[in-house]
Order: sequence, then C-alpha cells, then structure tokens
Amino acid sequence: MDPCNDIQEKIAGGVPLDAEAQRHVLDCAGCAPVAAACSLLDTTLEAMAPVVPQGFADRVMALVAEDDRAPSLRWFERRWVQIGFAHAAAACTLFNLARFVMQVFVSNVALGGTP
Amino acid sequence: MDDDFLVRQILGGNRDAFRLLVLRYQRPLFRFLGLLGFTSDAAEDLAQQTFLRVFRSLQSFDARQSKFGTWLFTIAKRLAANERQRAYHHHEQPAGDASGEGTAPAWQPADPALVHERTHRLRAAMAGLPVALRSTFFLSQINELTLDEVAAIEGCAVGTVKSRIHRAREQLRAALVDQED
Repeated sequence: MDPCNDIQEKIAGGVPLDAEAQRHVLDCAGCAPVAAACSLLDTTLEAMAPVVPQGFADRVMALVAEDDRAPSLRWFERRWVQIGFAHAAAACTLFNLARFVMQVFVSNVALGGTP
Repeated sequence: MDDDFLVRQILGGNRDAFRLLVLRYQRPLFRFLGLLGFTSDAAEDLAQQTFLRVFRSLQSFDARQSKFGTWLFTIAKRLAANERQRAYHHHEQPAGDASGEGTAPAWQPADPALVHERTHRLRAAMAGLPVALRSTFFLSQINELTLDEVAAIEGCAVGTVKSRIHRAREQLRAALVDQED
C-alpha cells in the first residue's frame, strides 16, 4: 500500500512522524518536497516568535503588587452593599405600591363601592 | 508542580507562585501574540494585561471545568480581539492584519536577509487566512496546548481543529514555496 498520502497528510497537519515514516520521506521523491516545504514553514514560524523581553516577569509581578496596593473600595462601593441597597429600595417600592392599592381598595369598600 | 497546585498556592496568599506561572507561560503567550501579528511592544502590553487579568480573576478559575493553560489563552485571545477592535475603531493598523509593511519586526531573525524576507511573505500569507483558520492555527502552534485544549478555546470539535490546521498549513506552505520557486 502506498503510504505517501498518509505521510503527506501528517506532514501537512504538523503531526510528528515515526522513524519508519521519516526513512520513507528521505527516499520518496513525492514526500521529500512536501516535508522540505513544511520544514521551511516551521522554521519561518519559529523565527517569527517575539523574544520575551528581559525582566518581563518582574514587571508583571510589580503590576500585581501595585494592583494589591490599590486602595480598597469604600464600604458603600462594595458590591454586596450596593445589591443590598437595590433590594431594600425594591422592597420599599413594593411596600408603598401595596399600601397605595390597599388604601384605594379599603376606602372604596368603606364607601360601599366595588373595588 | 502542576498549574493547579500553583493556583491553589496563589489563592492561599503565596504571590511567588504566580511568578512561576508567568515564567511558565510567558514564552508561549508571546509566541501566540507574535503570530497574531502584534509587534513586540504591543505583545508585551497585551501579555501584561493577560497576566494581570488572570491574577485578578483567579478566584473564578475552576480547575474542574478547564485547564489553566486553556483558560489563560482564552483570556489572551479575547484581549487580543478587543485590542484589534480598538485599533480598528481608532483607524490604526489592526494587528494581525498587517502584512508586515511599516511595522517594526517583533522578532530576531537568525539569518537576517532571507529569514526576514520569508517572514514578511509569511505574514502576508497569514493575513490572508480566514479568521477562524488563523486563530486555530496559531493556537495549535503553542506547544503547551493539546488539540483538545485548542478545540475548547475555539469552541469547536477536535476534528474541525485538525481540518483547520491542515488547511492553514497547506495555504501557508503553498505561499512560501510558490514564491520561493
């Protein structure tokens, strides 16, 4: 069976070749150019990787430390306090609405009307 | 020391453990951002933002749902996309769409003339790849990520990842070889 198709698919997909496939590539006129082209692609991609600048990790750690030192939120800026206020305001609104409806309902009943 | 152990250490208050994570992922992250077309300055800025975002959000990281590397590159990919959008709206040259013209090279070629020329050609070819193909291919170039992890970041099946990598490599290889001949 001709293994070229399988091997060329592996090469194109960047899958590492086993020893037997590597030997085949060296001798095969069809697979060798494909392997050479992909090798060129990998080498060029490798050359494109930016170099990590000196002291990068130190700068990140300095940012993290700075972030830690940032002034903490005031009590009323905390999320749970704001959620609490929002719930309390919603409860007040509902209570007032219910009280208003009840007042209208009760006064109507007192006057003998139908609600 | 695996990533999860380091994450637990950081959450327990050990800041030095975070340095180890930065050192572990800085090279693949720069590689990813470089492939996306960011210059060295922009890549450094984005890499810093990524690590800072990771540090701030570490409480919400769930090791049962994803691996740390997958999570980190998902954040990096999102930040890079935001940066590209920002550049687009400010009418700047969007990173990743640059053919290399007019931008300072962010890499150090080993064989200056030839490698420089090839990388320019490759950048132009990469800019011509469809966005989905490009993103998947670049993630696949990060040795720390398995195909499963790339699929998780991209939100697609492993088979789709394989097919995208295959198509991207074919297009890039053809672009390099055609012009080499």
